Amino acid sequence: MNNKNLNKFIYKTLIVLFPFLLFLLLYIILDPFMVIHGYPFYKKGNVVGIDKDYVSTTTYEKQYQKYRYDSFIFGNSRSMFYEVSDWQKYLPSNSSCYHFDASAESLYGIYKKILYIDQKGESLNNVLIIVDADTLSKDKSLEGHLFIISPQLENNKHIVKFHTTFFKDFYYYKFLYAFLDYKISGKVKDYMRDNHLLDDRLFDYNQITNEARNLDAEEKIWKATYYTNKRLSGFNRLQGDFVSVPAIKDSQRQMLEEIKKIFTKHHTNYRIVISPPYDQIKFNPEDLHYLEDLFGKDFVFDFSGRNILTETYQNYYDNIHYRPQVSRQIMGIIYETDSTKRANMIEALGIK
Amino acid sequence: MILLCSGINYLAGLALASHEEEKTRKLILATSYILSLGLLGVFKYYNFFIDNFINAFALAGIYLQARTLDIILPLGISFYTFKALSYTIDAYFRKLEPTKDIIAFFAFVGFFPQLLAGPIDRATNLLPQFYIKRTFEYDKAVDGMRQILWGLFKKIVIADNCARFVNDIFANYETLPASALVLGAVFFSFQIYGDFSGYSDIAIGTSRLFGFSSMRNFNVPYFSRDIAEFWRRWHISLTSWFRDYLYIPLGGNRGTKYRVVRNTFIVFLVCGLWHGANWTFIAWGLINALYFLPLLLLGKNRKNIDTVAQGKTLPNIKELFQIVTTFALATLAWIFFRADSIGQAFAYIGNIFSKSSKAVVEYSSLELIPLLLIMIAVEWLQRDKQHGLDFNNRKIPTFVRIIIYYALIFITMLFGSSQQSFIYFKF
Repeated sequence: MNNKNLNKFIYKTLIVLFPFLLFLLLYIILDPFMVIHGYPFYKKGNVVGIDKDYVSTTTYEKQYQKYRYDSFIFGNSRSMFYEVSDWQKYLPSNSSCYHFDASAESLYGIYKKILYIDQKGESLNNVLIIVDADTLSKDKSLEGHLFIISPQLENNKHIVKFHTTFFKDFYYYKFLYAFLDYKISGKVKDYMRDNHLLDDRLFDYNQITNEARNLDAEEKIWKATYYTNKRLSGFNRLQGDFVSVPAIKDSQRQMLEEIKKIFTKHHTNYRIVISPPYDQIKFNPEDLHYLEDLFGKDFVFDFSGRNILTETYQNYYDNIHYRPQVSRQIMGIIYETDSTKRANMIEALGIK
Repeated sequence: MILLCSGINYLAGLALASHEEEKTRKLILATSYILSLGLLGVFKYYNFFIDNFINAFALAGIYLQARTLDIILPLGISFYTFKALSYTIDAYFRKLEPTKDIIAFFAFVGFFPQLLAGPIDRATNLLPQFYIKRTFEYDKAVDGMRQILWGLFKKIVIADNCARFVNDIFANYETLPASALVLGAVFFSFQIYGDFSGYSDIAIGTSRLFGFSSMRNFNVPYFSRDIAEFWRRWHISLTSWFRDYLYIPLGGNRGTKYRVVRNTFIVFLVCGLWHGANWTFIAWGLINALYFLPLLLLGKNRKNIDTVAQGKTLPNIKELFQIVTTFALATLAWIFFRADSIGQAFAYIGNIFSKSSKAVVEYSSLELIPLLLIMIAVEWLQRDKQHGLDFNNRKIPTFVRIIIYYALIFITMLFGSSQQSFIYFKF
């Protein structure tokens, strides 16, 4: 009798859970975020926003033995516009570069990536770190399927959380609707783009260096169709002088000190760049002093605040991301070996 | 930690069973109190008290050097400490026979569904259930599954969705209009209810799957007609714990008015502190004490002990007014609970009254309103039941029940995530 009741209970529970199981199956088969099955190429034809941290880490893991990377660019999406072809001019000719970035990267993410490379016994000969107050303030893995840290970087400790994050976001009703619509119609429609659900903008992706270049935006800028009124309305800055709140606290200090130790161990030729945000908010001086004390004044460069780079919107794609022309200028300054010349270049930009 | 806490109280129970002398029994109880609360104090409150001690002296120009501890708060420590302590106190007052069954006792304290967020079940209710052999009970298991489903809806759909707006609004309260701040406070009231009562439903439902009956933890508190009723319906396992093991031993509402006022303040302040080591929780307790005291002193604290609008479909105007007023008072107090500091709570409230009102549609929060209405409607219709999907003694056709289950599963799946994860300029 008892067994009969138990069987009845299990049977009914399975019936009630059927839709959930069906969607689970659908998710596993379709794998919209590309985290279940292995993929040789992540960006090709993909219209779903995927976790750049996972892409960067997985691609590195697959390729590091082949390409023996020894030079890395770390940072959030702002770092995307530091192109390897430009950077390589300042490095030894035999350097093998990899862009190890993540969307909305955290200091925690940068620290974990550096630690990961070190633990693999790989070289860290040249490193360029692109940060801002937001990056430095984040001392934990972020939530959400676009940002969550790749499980390999945490020794697969949070692999369940990692996968449930994607599974949960798959069920977000607007995304699910758009995704199924796209799968059936084969088209990315305006409502999908407008709601940041799917994106078919043209990116040039280099699998070896893990670089994604925004060809779409550059093409529009050259055709003078990019800076529309709608887009310009997103370029915001407050009137007056503002300083970011202190971002470096105890946990950040620990991570930064660990990073420094690894750099010392590897004799790394590193540079740390504080990004020039369009909002012109100046990077906190206390944080800057801390970074300069730890990493050395000649290796930390702050381009935030009011200056020529941040003055004009033509240097930016949006409120946050600056164009490669800015990054080129920055690289020219930070790799200038003549300190007087470098100081003059900084002064010419109006940076105090 | 849990083994240590269980061990202390298990041994205290054994000691109480073998000692009849009142003085010795008191000593055993006091030892158990000191050790159990001492562990809780070190892990949860040590840094808070040290910081405030240093700050207090700093005000007088004396700068002390003291080390705070770099420790992680063990999960669920407040819950299992109170659960284990209730056993020792009940054993001391001879309300239960101390157990020699170490497995049963440790299983009682560490009972997994209740471990992280309660309910803080009493040994008198839960412990004897570990002595008996359980068999699968179909009706209990089905009801447990329903309660889990309702709990998931409240946690995932209501609480988690409210949380993203609440977090955004509380983080930007300085720049937002008054209407958004009001909305943020109201959403937080639903967030904390959905979160906490949702967890409780999941815990109680899971217990029922294993054949255990847990005590009820929330009884539609937002349909209360006054604050006293609210506190009889909110986090019942905790409030009844404080009533039985703190308020009544302090003298309860017997004695002089001064004693009644004192006891009430002590209970609410301790209740606030139990929720976390921050002045905001203490302020929240204090505000609730101030709400509660007039009712107690006027002898109106037990005026509303029945279910609101019993036998009727809707409340009358007076009841509706009372419900809304009680909800508003609770919401005002929740601002202190949610704020990072007392200063922020006052600034938040100040901005509600000083900022001009604007439309709040810009927060795209309106999609939450139908979901909140679903929860409110279901809880209203089921207000005399154990939980939102308690269909016992209700004649609901099978197909309707199946529709309800599927609808809730779909809503939970589809609204279980948020656009927040998607809003990111894709570079």
